[in-house]
Parts: sequence; structure tokens; C-alpha cells
Amino acid sequence: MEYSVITARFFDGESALEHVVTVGFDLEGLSIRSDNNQEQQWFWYYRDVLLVSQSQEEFRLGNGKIEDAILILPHGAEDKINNRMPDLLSGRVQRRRMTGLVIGLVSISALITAGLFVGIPAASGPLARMTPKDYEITMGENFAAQINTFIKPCANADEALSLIEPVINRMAVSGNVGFPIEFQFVRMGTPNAFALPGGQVMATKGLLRVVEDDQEAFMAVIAHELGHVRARDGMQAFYRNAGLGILLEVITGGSGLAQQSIQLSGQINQMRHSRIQESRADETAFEILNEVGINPEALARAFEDITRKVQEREDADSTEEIIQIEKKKKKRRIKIPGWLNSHPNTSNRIKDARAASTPSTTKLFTDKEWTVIQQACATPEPDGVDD
Amino acid sequence: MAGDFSTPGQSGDHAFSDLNTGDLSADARGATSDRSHLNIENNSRLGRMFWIGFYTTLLNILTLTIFRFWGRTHFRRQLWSDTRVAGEPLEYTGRAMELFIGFIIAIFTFMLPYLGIIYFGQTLLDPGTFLIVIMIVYVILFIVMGVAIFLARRYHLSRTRLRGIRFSQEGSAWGYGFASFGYGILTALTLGWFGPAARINLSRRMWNNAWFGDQKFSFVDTPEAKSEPVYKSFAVAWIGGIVLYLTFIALSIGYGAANGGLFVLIIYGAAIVLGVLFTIFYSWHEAVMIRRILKSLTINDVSLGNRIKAMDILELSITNTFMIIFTLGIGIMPAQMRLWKRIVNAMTVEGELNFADIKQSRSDKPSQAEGLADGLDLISKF
Repeated sequence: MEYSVITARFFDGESALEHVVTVGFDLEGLSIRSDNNQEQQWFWYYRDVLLVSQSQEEFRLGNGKIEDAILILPHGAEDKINNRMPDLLSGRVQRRRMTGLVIGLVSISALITAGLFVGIPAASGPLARMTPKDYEITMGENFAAQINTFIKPCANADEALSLIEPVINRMAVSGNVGFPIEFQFVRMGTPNAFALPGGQVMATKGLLRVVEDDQEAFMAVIAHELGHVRARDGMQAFYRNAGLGILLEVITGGSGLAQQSIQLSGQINQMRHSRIQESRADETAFEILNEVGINPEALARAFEDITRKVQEREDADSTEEIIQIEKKKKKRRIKIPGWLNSHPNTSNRIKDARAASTPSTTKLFTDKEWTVIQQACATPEPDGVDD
Repeated sequence: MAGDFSTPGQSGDHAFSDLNTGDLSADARGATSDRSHLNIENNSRLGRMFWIGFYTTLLNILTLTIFRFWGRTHFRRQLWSDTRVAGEPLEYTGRAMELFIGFIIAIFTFMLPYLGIIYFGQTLLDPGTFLIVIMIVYVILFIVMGVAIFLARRYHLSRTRLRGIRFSQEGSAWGYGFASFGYGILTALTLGWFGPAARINLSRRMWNNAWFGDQKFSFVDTPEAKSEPVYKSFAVAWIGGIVLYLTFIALSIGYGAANGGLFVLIIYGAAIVLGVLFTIFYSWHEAVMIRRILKSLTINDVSLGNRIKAMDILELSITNTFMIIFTLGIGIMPAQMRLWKRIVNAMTVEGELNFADIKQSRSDKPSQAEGLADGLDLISKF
């Protein structure tokens, strides 16, 4: 191979002074000699040479072993560089590294995604069971206090509570729920009930309205919530949300997702449960209802009452909107089976409740008592607002 | 000295016997540079930055944004090398892996403890105690934000090289954090009026501890710098901001009774128009502040300055906003480049620098990257 030299520029990394140098392409490396001062000489092994950058005018080379020194070869030096360092300018090494990097990062991301959708939900159950009960109770009390800043308890429910609480406690004992139950009627029009961590249970004014005289339906819903308390589903939901948020925060960096999800994890709309959890809570409800002498079929009536209310609200919406929804449904022609949905199909739940039917052997409240309970949220609130 | 010339592989009979000067002649470059006028320029191309922005966005999606460290490094390398000082490009020597590791360290040393406090505070403390705890946490957070800004800046400078010489940042990160917190309090207490003074003082603190090799930068209140209408322009922005805010409130109340669709249309329309108007008011102040700070900088016998105008800021603010919106975020890097390019190309330099006198920085390169700033989402510029 013909030996060749070239004139170049050089910064030695010690001072900002530019050296005009003559560079020789030796067998094992670059010989660099200052044109002004023959005493100033350097030798760079080819294996240490790095391409810092290249432009139309020049190639800027660095040395992996000598920090900050830069050798600047003019445009036209490609052949000499390629002769001695065939990979340096081709970009093959960089492309290989980049491909490896992307494959590696995509693989890590796939693992993280699996962690998000499988690992965290799977870990939430054992974590919930490992959580000390005192801790969960304190947590539930705090969550309830936070929720009550937005969803107020019914102000004049004392008498109703004095009637219903002993019954709920009896149901909790029968069902071996494992937590003291703190029950509230809350001022919310939507017919619903919630179980927060640590035995906090809330039933809405809307639920009281839709069940009307059917005290068994109301208590069946409470029994279902006690099922969530026993399974510590609220705690699992908390871990799911917090874990998801922390992981996303860690990945995305300072997006605030973790803080928000932790703050939101105590909110009612985050207390969603999986299909399995809902089914399990239904089964616990059947068990509790049987224990206290109430027909589990009452849960089916509660579902029907709630569904009817939702249907009435939909009917009140614009007809045009419903037509559009129906059109979309027909277009899709796909019915999602219950087992694929995150929540059990309501009609299946109704069927299950009917299947568990055994006649009631007792009446939990007298008609007079139930009337008092029904009025828990009916009297005018102190702020005059009717939800 | 970088190595020994007498090495294996060199054959004396052909060494330097076949001189090929290539495109570069000694005459063209001068034997060795000595005193140089520091003309500063940037010649970044929009297309190149869009390409980096495009593949960074794409790979961010595929990698749950972990690729951002690599994308940011590619962007900086390009931007730095497109910026020339006295004909020589700046070089960014930071590595993406440093950013990534810095971020991981920040997660374990700051972010997870912080999230732990929020977690345990919210779940175990009563709301009153939690409020006190969260207030203390936020005070610490504000101080740490200043620390993070300082550390990020120290990292940027230590990974910036010109003619083989590194820049560096000295001074106390915590000192900067406390100062920025204190100035923040004063700014809040004065309804923003201490803001410009705070910004100047923090810049002074940074630049008085910044170095190029063994040459120190100084932040000097030159007559030219002091002649900038800092508070006049701030007054325009402040009063304009108040008037626009009150207008927005009045519109919200005035059209509150309108039906939903019309109300939303009016509010969004008003927000856009008032936002543009505020940018007009604010652009003058921003241009003044950039000039005020850059006109205060000196190094050795060189004084820096800048000629950026309010119209530059206004035009960039509006066009960059549209560019980012219409490219679904791909245009963020090109937008940052356009601002940088405009500021760099408006730089003025008086005096000459003797490069022969400038020796390498003796500061150690900080191993800490900008992970804390990344964790706190403070990486907004480059």
C-alpha cells in the first residue's frame, strides 16, 4: 500500500491554538507532525481513531484515548482514510450500533408494556393481601375524607344510619369481611354504591331512589360492596393505579402522571374492578344474603333497577344520537362476549343471581324503618342544593 | 502531550516524503491561528432538524419515549456543529448513555422518594397534616428545580468544546437553587415585578462562574447593557397581560349565558386572539432581556452583544407554535433550532481573542448529567 501524507489541522486538547500539521498514514496509525514546530509530534493508532463529525469541507477525527484532541482532515482525504480505516467513514458501525440500540430499546419497551398490563395487575393482589389492615383502614378513612370534599354525605341521615348500620355490621360479620364497616349515604344522583379500601362503603341517593320499596335489592348491593371489602379490591385498585402511574412517570420523565394517578387512585372513578373481582363480589353477596336470610335474587332486581334508570337517561338523550349509535353498532356487527369484557355482562350477572335464588326467611327492616332509611337523603340539605 | 512519534509501523524511508496538501494549504489557514475575531454564526438547516425530529418522535413512540435521550443527543450534536465561532464549529461531546444513566440515578435519588412521600402522605396522614407535608415538599421541590437547572447547565457546558477546549461551569448548585427559590418568592410577592431583576441576577451568577478553558467569563453591567429598557418593556408586557386577562374574564362572564357550542367557540377564539396579543406585548420584553444579558458578557478582551429585535421573537413565537401544532410535535426540535439560530446570528462581538493564550479547562467533567432536570421536566431548551 502506498504511503501517503496530507496537510491537516490539529487541536491538541491542551490549548486552543491551531496547529497546521502533516499527517502520515502509517501501517498502524496516523503520524501527526506540526509544520511549525518539528518537535511537536503525535501518533494515533487506527484502532483509537473516531469520526467526530464530517461535513462537505472536512472530516473531524478524535481519539478514544486522548480526550479533546481533534484532527481535521480536508475533503479529499476519503481515499486515504478508507485505505487504512475502511469502516470509519462508511457509517456501517454507526448503523449497526443504531440498529442494535433501537432493537434493544424496543425490547425493553415491550417488557415494560407487559409489566404495565400484566405484571402490575398481577402484583396488585398479593400486595393488597400483604398490606397491614390498620394501614388500609387509615388509608380508606383518608380517601373517604377526600371524596367527601366533592361528594358530600347526606346531612340528615343520622336516624337512617342508626337503623341500617347494625344490619350492615351483622352482614359483615356473617360474610367474614375482616374490616369494621364505615357506611355513608352520599349526595349523588347516579344509582351506585362504592367500596373504598379498609371498609369504607358509600351508597348514593340515586340508588335509594331507584330501588324504591325494595329494601332487599338495596341491601343486596351493599352485600356486593362487602364482597369487594373482603377481597380488598379497593386496595388492589390503588396499587394498580399507583404502580401504573409511577412506571409511566419513570419512563416519560416528569410528566406528573404518577402524582396524579396516586391522587386519583383514591377517587371513586378509579375504583373500577375487573370482571373476576365483580363476579367474586357477587358470589360473596349471595353468601352473605343467604346467611342473613335474604333471597340473593334481590341482587338481580337491583341490577334491573339500575339498568332501567340508565336506560331512561339514554332515552332522554337526543334521538339523533341514538340513531347514530345504532348505525355504528349495526356496522360493526360484533358483539363482545362477556368473558372478553373487563366487566361481567349485566344480564349474565342477573342470570347468576336468579340461579342462586332461595326464598327469603326474614325481613331486615319494618316498612316504617325502611321509610326512614329511604328519607336519608330526601330532606333539604343545609346548603339547599339538591343533587 | 498526546503521544510518542516514534512508533511501530512508521517507516523512515517514506515518512513525509510524499506531501499531499489536499484542499487545505497552509496559506489558506495560516500557519497557526493566533488572535482571532470571534464572528459567531449558525447555519443549521430546517430539513435536517425535521429529519432528526421525525425519527426521534417515531422512535419515542416505539420505545415509550426512552429514545428521547438519544434523539436529544443527535439534535445537540447537529446544532452545536452547525454553530461556528471564528470559523470553527462547536462540538457537543455528551453521550446519550450519560443522559440515560443520569435519569435513572435521578429516579432513585429524587423521584421515587418524592413519590413515596406523596404516596405515604396521602394514604396515612390526615388531610391537615398532609397539607403541611406537601407544602414542605413543594418548597424543597422549588429549590431542587434550581439545582437541576444549574446541574443541566454545568453538564451542557462541560460537554461543549471549541478548538479542543472545553467550557465549564463552576459554583454551587445548591447556592443557585436557594437563590432561584428566594428570587421566586420575591417575584411572587411583587406580583412579577422582581422577575426581570431575578433573571438578570441568576444569569450573573451563572456567567460569573462560567469558563472557556482557563478563561473566565464575566457578567458586567456595561452602559450598553444597562441602556436596555428592561422595566419599560416589562411594564408593557405586565399591563398588557393584565388587560388581556381581564378582557378574557369579561368575555367569559359576558357570553356565559350563550349556548354551549357558541360559548366554547367564543372562549377558544378569544384565547387564541388574546394569546397572540400577549405574545406581541411580551416579545419586546423577551428581546430586551436577551440583549440585556448577552450585552453584559465579556471574556478576556472580548465583549459580546446581540441585536435581536422584538419582531424576531414575535415572528418566531407565532410561526414556531404553528409549526409544532401542524407537525404534531415533530417540529419541536426545528423550532428550538430556529430560535437558537436567530439569537446566534444576531450576536455581535467586539475585540479579539488570543487563542494561543487559552489553555484547557482544569475542571473535572461532571459525571452527573441532566437527569434531575429531565425528571422534573425542565429540559425545554435543547
